[in-house]
Amino acid sequence: MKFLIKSALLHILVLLLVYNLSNCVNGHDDSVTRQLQRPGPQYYPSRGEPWPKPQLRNLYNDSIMIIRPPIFRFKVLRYTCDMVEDALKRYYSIILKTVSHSAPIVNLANAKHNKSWKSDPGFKGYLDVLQVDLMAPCESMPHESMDEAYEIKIGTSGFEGTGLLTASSNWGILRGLETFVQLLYPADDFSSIQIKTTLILDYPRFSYRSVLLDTSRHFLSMKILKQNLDLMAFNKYNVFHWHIVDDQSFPYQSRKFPQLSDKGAYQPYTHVYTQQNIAEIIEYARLRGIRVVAEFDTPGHTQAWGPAIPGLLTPCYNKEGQPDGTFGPIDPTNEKNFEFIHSFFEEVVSVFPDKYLHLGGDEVYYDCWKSSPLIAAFMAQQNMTDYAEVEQYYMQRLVNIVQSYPKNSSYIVWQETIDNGVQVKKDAIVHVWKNVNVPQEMSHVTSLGYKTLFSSCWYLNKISYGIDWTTYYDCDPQNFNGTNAQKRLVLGGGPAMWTEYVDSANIIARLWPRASLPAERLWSDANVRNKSDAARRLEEHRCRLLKRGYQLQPPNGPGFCGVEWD
Amino acid sequence: MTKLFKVATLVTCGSVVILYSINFVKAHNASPLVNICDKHSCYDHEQKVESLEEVYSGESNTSRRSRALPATKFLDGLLRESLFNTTMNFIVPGFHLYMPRHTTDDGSLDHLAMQAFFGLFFAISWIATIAIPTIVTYFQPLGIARAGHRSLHTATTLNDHNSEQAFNVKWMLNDKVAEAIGLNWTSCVRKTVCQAYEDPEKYSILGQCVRLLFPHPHPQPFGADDDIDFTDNAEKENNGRDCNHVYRCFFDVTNLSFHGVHFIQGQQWPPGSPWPLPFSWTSIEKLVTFDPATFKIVKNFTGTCEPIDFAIQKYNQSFLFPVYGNGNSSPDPSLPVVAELVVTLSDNEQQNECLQYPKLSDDPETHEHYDLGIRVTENKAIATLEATTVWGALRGIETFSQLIWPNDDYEGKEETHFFANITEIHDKPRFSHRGLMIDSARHYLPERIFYEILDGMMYNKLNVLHWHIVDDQSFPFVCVTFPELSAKGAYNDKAVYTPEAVQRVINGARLRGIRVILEFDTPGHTLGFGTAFPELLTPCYGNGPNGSPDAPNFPKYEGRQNLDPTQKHTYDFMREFFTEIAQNVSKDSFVHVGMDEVYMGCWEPSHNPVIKEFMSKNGYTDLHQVQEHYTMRHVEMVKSLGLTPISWQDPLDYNVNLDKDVVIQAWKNWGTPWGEQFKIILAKGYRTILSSPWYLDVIEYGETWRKYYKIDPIKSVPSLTDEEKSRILGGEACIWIEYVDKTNIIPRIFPFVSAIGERLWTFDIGLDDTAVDNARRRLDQHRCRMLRRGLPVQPISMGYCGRWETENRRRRR
Repeated sequence: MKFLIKSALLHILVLLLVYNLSNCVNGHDDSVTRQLQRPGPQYYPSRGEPWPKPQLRNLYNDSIMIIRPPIFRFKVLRYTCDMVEDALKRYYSIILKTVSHSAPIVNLANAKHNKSWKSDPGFKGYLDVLQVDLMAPCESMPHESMDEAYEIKIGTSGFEGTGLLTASSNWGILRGLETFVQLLYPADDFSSIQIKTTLILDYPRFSYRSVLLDTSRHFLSMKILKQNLDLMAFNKYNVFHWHIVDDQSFPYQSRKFPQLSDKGAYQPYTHVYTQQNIAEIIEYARLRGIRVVAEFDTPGHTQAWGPAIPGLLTPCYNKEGQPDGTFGPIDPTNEKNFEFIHSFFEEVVSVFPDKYLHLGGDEVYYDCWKSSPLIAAFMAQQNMTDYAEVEQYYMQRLVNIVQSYPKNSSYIVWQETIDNGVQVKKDAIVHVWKNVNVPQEMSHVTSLGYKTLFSSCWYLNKISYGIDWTTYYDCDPQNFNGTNAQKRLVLGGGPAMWTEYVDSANIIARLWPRASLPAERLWSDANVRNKSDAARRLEEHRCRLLKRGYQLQPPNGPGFCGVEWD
Repeated sequence: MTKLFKVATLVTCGSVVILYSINFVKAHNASPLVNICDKHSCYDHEQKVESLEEVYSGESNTSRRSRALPATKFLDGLLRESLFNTTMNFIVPGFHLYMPRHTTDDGSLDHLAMQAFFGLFFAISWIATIAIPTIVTYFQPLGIARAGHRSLHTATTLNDHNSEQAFNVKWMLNDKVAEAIGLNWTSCVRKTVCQAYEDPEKYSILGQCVRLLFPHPHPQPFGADDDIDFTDNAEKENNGRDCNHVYRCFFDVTNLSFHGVHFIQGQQWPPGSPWPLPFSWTSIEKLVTFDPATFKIVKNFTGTCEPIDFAIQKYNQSFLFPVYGNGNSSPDPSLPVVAELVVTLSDNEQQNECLQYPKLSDDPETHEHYDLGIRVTENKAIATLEATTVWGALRGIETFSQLIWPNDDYEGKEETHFFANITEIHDKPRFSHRGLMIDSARHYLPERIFYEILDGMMYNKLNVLHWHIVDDQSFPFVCVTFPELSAKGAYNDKAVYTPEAVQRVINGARLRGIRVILEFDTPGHTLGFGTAFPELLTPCYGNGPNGSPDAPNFPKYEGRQNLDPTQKHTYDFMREFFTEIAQNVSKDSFVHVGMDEVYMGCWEPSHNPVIKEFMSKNGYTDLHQVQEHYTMRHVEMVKSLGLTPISWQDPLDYNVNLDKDVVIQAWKNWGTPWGEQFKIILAKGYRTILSSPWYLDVIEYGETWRKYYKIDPIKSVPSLTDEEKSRILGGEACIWIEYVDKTNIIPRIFPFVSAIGERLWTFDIGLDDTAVDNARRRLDQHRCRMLRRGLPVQPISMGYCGRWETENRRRRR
């Protein structure tokens, strides 16, 4: 009895100690989830702070410059191209329509009479020109190793009174323009638009920063897909992971096999993505420096393929040894299926220009294979003992097919493929998604030498009450035990929005700004972790994007966004 | 006696074991059930309506009310879907009441009694599901065609031909049949055994029997196999659920609920099924059609009646007969055409309430009652709507609009026709207070959002908008007497509700038959008042005894939190403020006075010398007497202005003396279960409104509407007297908007509030999974209807809404 009491006391002591320590370590950070009862908003937004946070930013003595939207212009110095020109137009209109709109008093007439900024000791003149200096010719398609670094100088020493955006590639220019526009903010009295004099050197921490949208559980309209691409660009994402088909529906309209969407889409005329639609999305994404990586998940998650391609799916058998009318994963015993796969994926790699194709390979259930005498015969013939070997056989054939195309294509697979021991080629990428034993899995996959993507803790379809972004913010793709070489194999990853309970009615508000948190984790330095700072910048970022016309839900609790109300 | 129970238990155990053994032998040769569910859930969500014949094949064509099904159909229904549902309906409550969940076998009488009950119900379930159908069908062999249950993907349902073979009912214990009705012996037996091992304390004696007889079917720890679903961690943590992931069987002995089998998901509903379900709804297969160009709603009297005129304008041709894109619509030439809906009101102008604001009715039976008929006499189709009050007429027009359905052709080539079944509806609400509470202080909601919400409320027959207009965070209400309140307390000068705007919203609500009850929360939640008038608030001594005034109590509380009950000034201010509300703002005779979450720490007499002095002066010994001091004066003042106060439940929780005229709104869903708290409030003799389990802002992943739908203000609360029941005015869904604003409020409210709306409107809806499953497709239909009408309503599960969802947010105003 004494012992019990003693140990209980000890436990309490240790707990208290740990609690105090954790309080010290966290400092003021835990205030993010604490709701203070007070008048006014939970967090006041920061002013002119970009999201995601740049790698390096110097500020100079609170000095500011003033932007006069009607006079302000971009000046291209060296190279340019359609993509850069398009971006300049886009961001110019954002400045005119949303930044100025948020400071409604700013116009020439008023500015003439009310120049309160002139008495500001920090006033360092007007920024009427941003020089845009692209140092190399444009690349046309975004790719896996694109250079997204850029440099911004606003009124720094040697550059007094001017602004400069420099990058060695057009991708850097795109990212830099976004940052530049985020630096603008209205003055306290809304009399002007200000920018702090600053030096920014910026580049991404990870090269693969993706958002997954599932268009199978619910169909998402073109308008929503484009809105999402806009928001991705505003958050410096560079890959649109398009989980285009699944069990529930097959909205991809194939050139070679139109019956797939005729029979597999929810509705074969309105709930499909035509070739033209897809080209439009790819082009829209390209102009924003975003790659489109399509996912055609096999051999599981293929129920919607079945009606169009007889014999593709494994028929399941009942106990009398008769097919019971239900179907399982793709049938690997039928050689014709590989002919179909060859032909279909040949089309897919020609439609989606990105080097990478996501082959899926997740959640293959063996129940149906176990019921099938054909599979049993096949296994006996191939000398297999385990159903994982059947899956492995299929994935190996699929991978070989995709590797055989003349286009230099490579692929991404979900983690199960590797867990089941399939040999994939060395420049293939493994996508970790299960939220169990994540560090071990990351460490396992990278120890095999595979490039790795990480999505485990960013399943944004899961929701809960209150501030949930802190968990997404704390999560880090390189948080596992491994050598530096292993950690370098982590290319990035990103959030996933599965659409079981989400469709065009609520997807934008549910996904954003929650997806902004992984964006910062993937772009900014690993040491950017201060949550109360992030809360204020997130508040500003959310309001900024709301003003641009996107319906982002409030992330932080009570508050308001300046003058955006309709 | 003990002996008797022991014998009963043994017999039960024995019979169960025998039954298990029989099936285990069968299970040996069996193949496991195909996994038809994906990682998140199962689906068969959308039904595609291609032709009338298809719609009307089988029994899914007419309503289930007031019609006896022929014997064959009954059997068909029994075998196909109702079999297990019906049985489980019968058994589940018994299990829930009597099944020992966490007891150990201590040999006591109670324990044995529970075991006996358990065994009894188990035996009954086996008799009802297996023995009776076998006997009945053995002597009456029937070929039963499979009807209904159309899913878009044939691969996801049972193959039709196979099912027909399977329904060779002579072989009831045939595995095909078992599988067809959703019971796979292999999976089920293995799952049961698995659960007996994994979750022994839930199983007690029965578990021991099972464990004695069978080895663990899955001896490795879960997680070692690849075919286990890891996606849902919450589920995984839940003890024993693991077995569900490995063995698919909807029959779950430990949890007594249905899992994962998609074709037992409730009733199919014909197109044009109303939500909420009417009191009495009879429809037959015969159809009428409409001419979309000329159809109109007319009143059978001259003169104006604003709400009806508004409804006639709102439910216009493009609203009732929406056509996608550039499509054409016309009446179906082969059917009788309904030219107009004739609305008849009571002749008495006073009685029909055209000129009044809606009010709480003592008599919901007549107040919102209506009779709606779509009939064909001598090949002439007519539609009539009769109601006593204009409010009943509004509800009837809404129901009428829901009965109309199109032959949505998918190619946009053919003409669209609109149909309705020949229908008789007599309808009235179950509760007279069916509300939605909107908070407009944590974020500002622009005025247009209110009209969208009011529209949505009308589509769900809700009749009270409870407007929590101000709170700690902001004071957007423009008070004419004290304009500083919003000038200083609003988020900014545009984020306000001017007196005109408030009146516009109240009038907009009136036209839709909705009352607006304003809430001005005191004495807590008053920082919004305090921004302009800090002297109204008590200075807190948050830094403890011998502290200083206005010291905050971190981490949660500011230096001032509550109104100051010690000063006369506070009461004078509130009288003036509420005088404006009573005379110029509120059109309803009820006003909500809040009274929730008073931060007692601020009034703590050991810290706060001012309160200490106040208490000793008045002879108070308990802090809640201070609360009572304020509450009683405030309530009396509000009543003297001719308003009836509504209060949150808090004063009663602290035994604060409260006037019996005050209506109590129950909101606490923590601590003791809400049902007990609700019962206590009722027992104290107050009229009540239920909100506790209906907080829409507390979100979760999944089909959360089911949770809201399973709550009933009467049936969920055991042993209420009739007198107590009569004091339940109804319920309110609440949406607090800490994490919600104009960007997401509509999908956060709808369709969840629809579930609550039906609960409050419709009589006789069960609380079990079957009732929820049965409502599911009708709710989906309703969701799509609201989407078509321009509200961005969330999906309840996978699927699609015809082609309308691609045109999200079509505005029709």
